[in-house]
Amino acid sequence: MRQGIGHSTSDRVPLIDRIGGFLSPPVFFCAVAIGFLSSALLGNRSAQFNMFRNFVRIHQLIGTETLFDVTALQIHRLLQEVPASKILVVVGGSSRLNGVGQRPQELWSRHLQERLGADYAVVNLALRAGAADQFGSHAAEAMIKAGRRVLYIADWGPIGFVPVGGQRPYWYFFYDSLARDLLLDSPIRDQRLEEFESRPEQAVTRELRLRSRLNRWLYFNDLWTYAGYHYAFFAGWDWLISENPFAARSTLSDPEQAEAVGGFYRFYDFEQTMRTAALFASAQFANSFDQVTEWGRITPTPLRDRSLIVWIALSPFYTHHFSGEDRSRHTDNMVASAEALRHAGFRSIEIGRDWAADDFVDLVHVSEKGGRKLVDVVAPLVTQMARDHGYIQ
Amino acid sequence: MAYRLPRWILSAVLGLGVGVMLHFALYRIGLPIQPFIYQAF
Repeated sequence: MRQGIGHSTSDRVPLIDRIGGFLSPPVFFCAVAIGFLSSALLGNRSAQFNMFRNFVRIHQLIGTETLFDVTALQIHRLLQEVPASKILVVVGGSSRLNGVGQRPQELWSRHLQERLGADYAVVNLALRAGAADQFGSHAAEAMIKAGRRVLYIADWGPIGFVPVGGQRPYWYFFYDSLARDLLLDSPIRDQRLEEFESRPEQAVTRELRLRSRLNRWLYFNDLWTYAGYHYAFFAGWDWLISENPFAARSTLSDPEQAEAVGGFYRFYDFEQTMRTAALFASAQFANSFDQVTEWGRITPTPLRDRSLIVWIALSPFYTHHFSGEDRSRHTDNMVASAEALRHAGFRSIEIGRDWAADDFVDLVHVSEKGGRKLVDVVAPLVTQMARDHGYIQ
Repeated sequence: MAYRLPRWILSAVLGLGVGVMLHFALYRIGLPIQPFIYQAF
């Protein structure tokens, strides 16, 4: 249609159509397939070796907090790099064993490694907002399944137990491990998982399972996590990486570089934290023991037999403000928790009741000084477990 | 046919890019829109 001088815009063929008209469809679609399959092949290659450099722990900048979801196979390769001659000590659990409040060079698990010596290899896979039945436990399972000499240490406490399959935000790791057939057989866990996934509101977990199965063959999570670690990360933005959002994660150092002198107590509202502390001193606390029993039931026996679950007390900075009755109940709850864990089939110990406020940095997290005390307790138990399992004489 | 080679090259380059992007999209849709924020307790 002509309107005076020149053409109306409706006469113009859109650019996308002009490009499309210029393309050769057979070549284009063949190239799409080649590009996709090459990526899958590259993902497969990237997952054949350990990708980590100087791994100490999963800190914020190589963790889920910054959208960086390390895959089950990448952790498996990390652990496989440990010589088979060494006893593999996998540390799992929450931020307490991850070492929140401790600098990487003074991390408790490093001191544990020094104390245990060259016959052992300690790998800290504990996570901020993680729990004993997540991530590290799956990684330990995979190594037990691979026939390695493994011991598993984790803490139990702040997070509690979540039905298998629903352990946000690290549930992806469980499904990833499951899809790659890395986990030990546990018919009870399979049954619980089936029950959990059949709930109408759990469509998201069914989707997660499907995606993990796809990833098993197409390696998209492995490839792009690898690329984000070594080259550039462009999957998302987060304020923690706002200064350098696209940087390869391997170039970003652990953000906890400063010693937490005096702890973090002053950053928390005292009254609110006391209310949290009071939960551990409540009569209802014993209700959580059923969860412990359930966790023991679904945990494969070889992993349960090799597990040491540590229950760490709360900081006396707060517990000293308990009434006599609450303090007594807090102690009883701790003792009973460890007992419940033992009853569920785990080796367990409760520690820290006689620690000072500076052995912690806040209500639950252990300071570098407290970390040394943790090592003092855990190291002999690890050695004893190694002996009990015939790993050493 | 005129421009056959440039057509093939452009088609191949665009196709490869789309294939790689599809692979990346499978990864990205699995990540949350916003990361979770860690709260100690």
